Amino acid sequence: MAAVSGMRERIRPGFSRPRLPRKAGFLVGSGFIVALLAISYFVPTPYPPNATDANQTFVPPGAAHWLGTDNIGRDVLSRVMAAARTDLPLAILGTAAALAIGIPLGLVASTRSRAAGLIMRCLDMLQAFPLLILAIVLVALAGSNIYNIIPAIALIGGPTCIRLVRSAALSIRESRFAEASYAMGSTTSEVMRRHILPNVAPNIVAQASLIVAGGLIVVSALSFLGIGIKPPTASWGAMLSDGRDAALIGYWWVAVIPGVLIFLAVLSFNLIADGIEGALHGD
Amino acid sequence: MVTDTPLLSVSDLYVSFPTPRGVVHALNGVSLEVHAGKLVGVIGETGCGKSVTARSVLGILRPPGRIDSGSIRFQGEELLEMSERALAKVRGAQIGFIPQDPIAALDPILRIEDQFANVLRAHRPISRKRCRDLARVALERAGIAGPDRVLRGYAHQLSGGMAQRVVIAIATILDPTLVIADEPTTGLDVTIQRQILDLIAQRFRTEKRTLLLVTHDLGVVAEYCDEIFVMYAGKVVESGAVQRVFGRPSHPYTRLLIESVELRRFDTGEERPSGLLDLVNYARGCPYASRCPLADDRSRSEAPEIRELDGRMVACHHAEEVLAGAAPRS
Repeated sequence: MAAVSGMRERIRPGFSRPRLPRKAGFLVGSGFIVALLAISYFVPTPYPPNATDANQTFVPPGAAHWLGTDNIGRDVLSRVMAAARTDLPLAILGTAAALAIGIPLGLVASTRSRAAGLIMRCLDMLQAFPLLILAIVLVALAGSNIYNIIPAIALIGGPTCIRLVRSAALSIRESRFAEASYAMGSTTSEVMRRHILPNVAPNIVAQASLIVAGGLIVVSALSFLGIGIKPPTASWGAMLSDGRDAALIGYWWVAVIPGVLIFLAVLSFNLIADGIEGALHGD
Repeated sequence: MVTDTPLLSVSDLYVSFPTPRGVVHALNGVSLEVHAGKLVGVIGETGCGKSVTARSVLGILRPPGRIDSGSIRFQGEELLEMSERALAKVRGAQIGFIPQDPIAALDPILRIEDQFANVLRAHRPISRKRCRDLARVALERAGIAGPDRVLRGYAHQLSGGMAQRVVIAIATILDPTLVIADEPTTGLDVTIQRQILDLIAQRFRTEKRTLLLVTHDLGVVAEYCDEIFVMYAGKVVESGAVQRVFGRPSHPYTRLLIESVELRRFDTGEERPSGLLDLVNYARGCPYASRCPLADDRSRSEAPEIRELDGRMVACHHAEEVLAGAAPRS
């Protein structure tokens, strides 16, 4: 990927654009995520996130409420902090589920077995669906339980994970070192465990970061639609949804702040993935 | 001929690769015997099936290659009928493998000591410390001066020669009876090639190990091996003791190989057949007929059986003429 874009830039120098060095992107992205997690977990919220105050509705950002209050007087800062403790773990747990399914299935899919064919055909079938919509429908049907979001993320992230692991495993299996290991008495599963997995690991980490980003979008989309996370539990998507009418009449902070946080968090995970990819391809 | 049972005997092995453009007949009835304690060379041009033969023995044929028929017996046991589990025990422990391109043969992200550990642990439970001790001794015997530094390092930190020494140490760490080396010196520069081959030959002679050396370098076989198998188009065309075969070749192809090295006949501007062998449209007669100066109607219609002549085996209708040196040595 990196080589291709590099080539294009050399051929058409007029179209090259200045871009953030990948290492810097990685540092910014991981820095933001670490700060976000640290603040939401270790800094006490200034107000209880669900406490309403009828006298303090739509207070603009200021000294008392740094990020203002919403239509029923809840502190926006407290709520976005509490929401981070709901949204991020869900996205990360969903990613863990995607990896737990994707890595073994990807390895199986890289063999020349019947199961491999079956897995790949199932993936082809899934590809026919718009996965985000499928996930929304599934969670809506399964009931508004917060934990139903985890399999929904796994459904979206799993297939890409399977394909990634499979293609990497296929190319590593053909390598001379995997072959030599096999010729020296390692079984197929030992070759997978000792050579293929460690070699794919960095790619998996990069992919995982992308799945977290996607998972965050799923969590936000679902809670925006009022599925999965029930009010009054704070969630960025739900806050965005609650504040969108108020934004039209000038109370912008209620919707914009969670919206910007979703954007920055998703961007950060993408920057992290991009940085790892860059390191893998040496640029 | 030697009469005791051979350590490794491949008989009538057929291997083919089905491809979209037709079935490639890589091996067409290869038979060879390797006796314990001998250094045996397998030689031939690209595509003659020498590597495929070695890979078949090790069970690492690349897809879509498949063994159609034949038998591979090691210490009297049929490898082709063994279960995967039983084979995994034989590989490494009894048959070692020295692959070509040593740097690529080492996992780029594992420390060298872990690669030793992987091979050792594939065969028996063993502690980390014991692994390291065994690896250290093996590296020293492979002529590496500072084994500890190498063990902690990675493949990319090694030179080609060092990497090949490491690979040889790994291949012999479980004390295998037979070691198969597939072009062990390709990619190494000439002085290093010599060091590596000297190392292999000396060690194997003193340790009474058996070597099956696959190479396209005639000089290497002439210098280091006891016996030779000359392959052409997936068949053994001539085999026997190195001095006998090289001293007086009886197959026109062997003779061509020797001439091409000794006399540099290729430099005289003479036409020589070249290009890759066509193994899809496999001819009925002698596979070498299309290139052979001695080929006649019989060669083109009837494949020569391998037979004994003058103390070696040869597959040619005109072997006597070649042996007598009567034929045109153009």
